[in-house]
Amino acid sequence: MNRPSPLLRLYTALACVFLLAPIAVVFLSSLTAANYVSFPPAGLSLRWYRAVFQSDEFVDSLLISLEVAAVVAVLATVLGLLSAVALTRFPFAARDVVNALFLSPLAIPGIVLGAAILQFYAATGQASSVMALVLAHLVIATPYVIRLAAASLIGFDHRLELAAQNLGATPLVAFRRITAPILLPAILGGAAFAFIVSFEDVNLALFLASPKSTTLPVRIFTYLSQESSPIISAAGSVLSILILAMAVVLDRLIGWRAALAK
Amino acid sequence: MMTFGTQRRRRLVAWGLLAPVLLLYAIMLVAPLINLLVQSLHAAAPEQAGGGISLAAYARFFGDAFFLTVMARTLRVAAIVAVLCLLFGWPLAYHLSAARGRTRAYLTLVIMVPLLISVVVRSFGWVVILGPHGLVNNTLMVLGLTDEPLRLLFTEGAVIVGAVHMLLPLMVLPISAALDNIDPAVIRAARNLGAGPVRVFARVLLPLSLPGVLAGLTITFGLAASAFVTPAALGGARLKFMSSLIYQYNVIVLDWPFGGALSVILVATTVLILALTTCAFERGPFRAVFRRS
Repeated sequence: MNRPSPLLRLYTALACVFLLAPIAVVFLSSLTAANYVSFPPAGLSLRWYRAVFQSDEFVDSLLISLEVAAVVAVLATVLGLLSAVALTRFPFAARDVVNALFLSPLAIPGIVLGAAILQFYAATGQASSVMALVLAHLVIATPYVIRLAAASLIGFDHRLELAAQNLGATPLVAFRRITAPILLPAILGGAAFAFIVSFEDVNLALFLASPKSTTLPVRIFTYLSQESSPIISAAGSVLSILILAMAVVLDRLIGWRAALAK
Repeated sequence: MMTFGTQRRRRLVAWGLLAPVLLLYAIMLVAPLINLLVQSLHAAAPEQAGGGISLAAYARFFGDAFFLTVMARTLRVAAIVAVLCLLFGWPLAYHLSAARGRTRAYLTLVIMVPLLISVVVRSFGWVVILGPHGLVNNTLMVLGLTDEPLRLLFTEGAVIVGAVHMLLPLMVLPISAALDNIDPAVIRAARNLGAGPVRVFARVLLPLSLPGVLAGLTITFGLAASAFVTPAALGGARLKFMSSLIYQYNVIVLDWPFGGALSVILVATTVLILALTTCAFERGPFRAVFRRS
């Protein structure tokens, strides 16, 4: 293709500003010294970050979010890995159908799945709890792990393992020295992705939130639907910084496009 | 890697490996969705209805002009958002496809990063930009274009801007993937045969990008129709969408039949519209593009 014309480059620059503006605005407005949200911020201070970490509501929600996301990451990785091995190493008559089935949770609107799980919990007499949230998040996080692990397993060359064994390695050593290191990036990447999916989710968490299971995104949402305060910017920035840190880990392990490519 | 004996034993092992996820999906996906559908077919007060099937919840929805207005607004806004994403996203996807090296890496990053930032944070960013003391109003007042802050927030326009921002990357990525698949020789051939830039766009690039366009429209329309946070944050409490009704009737009113019916109606209309769109693309003037894949 041609070198992009100056007009297209100008357009792209404007589009980039559009894409990044709301995020930059949240970061910058969190640094305000004033009592109200304004842009540009009035004065510079970290007082709203102090306010976030001195607020029991925000700190509790952050801890709940981290706890749920960590448990989801571990469980989704184990479940997803088992399925990926089954899907790639064993013969299945209708592989496409099975694959589609495993990705199906992603096709259901979050808000509908949230309502369905809420009604189901109510019908079976379960109370909203952290565990209830973990189970719900597992449904939307596991498909990503399956996809990443399956892609990596399909690309894995069996003969490497056989070669190691031919050269005298026991099956266990071959797995530890050859298979595991090759698959590890995809496995850890899947775990990081599952963590982000759970940590960011607001559609399911909104329906399942109880005082003991209000995650940080839900807490921020309840604040922002009532008032417009710089503490929301600060809490949002904390949430974003943690996710971007996870994203950097994810990028190091598997690369951006691989993780998000459909 | 390992040997698992007979074919039958291998199949058992495979199902054993799949069992945990199948169990999870059965309990947390299939059962809740069936329950939702069944609940929506109950009369408003189950103890009076005696457990029989009733379409009362659906009749209530389709018999009330208010609910129909909300549905029309939801579908209209979702359609506008999807089309705007396409118009604004196509040139960006083209640039991403054409870019090489550092430009491509940075452009990819700028398009991807918003996807990772929570929708709650991005919506609040638009609240700050469009609010009475926000970027837009401050700029307009400094320039003397207006004396008092304009009411930008809590309008349909604000919801559309926020939703386009949320979904633009999901339009750009599939289109740019489709453009990446075009053989450069095809474009060179078109040029050699005398096609100018407009003709190359209209006869080669656009038709061959249509599978990506269809994928992008499907994703953006589906997500825009069911988005909850963006309309709630930027549309305010009074501007209702299907998603706000679903939240209201399930979480606040605790009306399971109606809350269930609203969810079923939203999914059914979305699926129907997307199926018709797919049909139109696959039977349209460029159907050959779809048959190839």
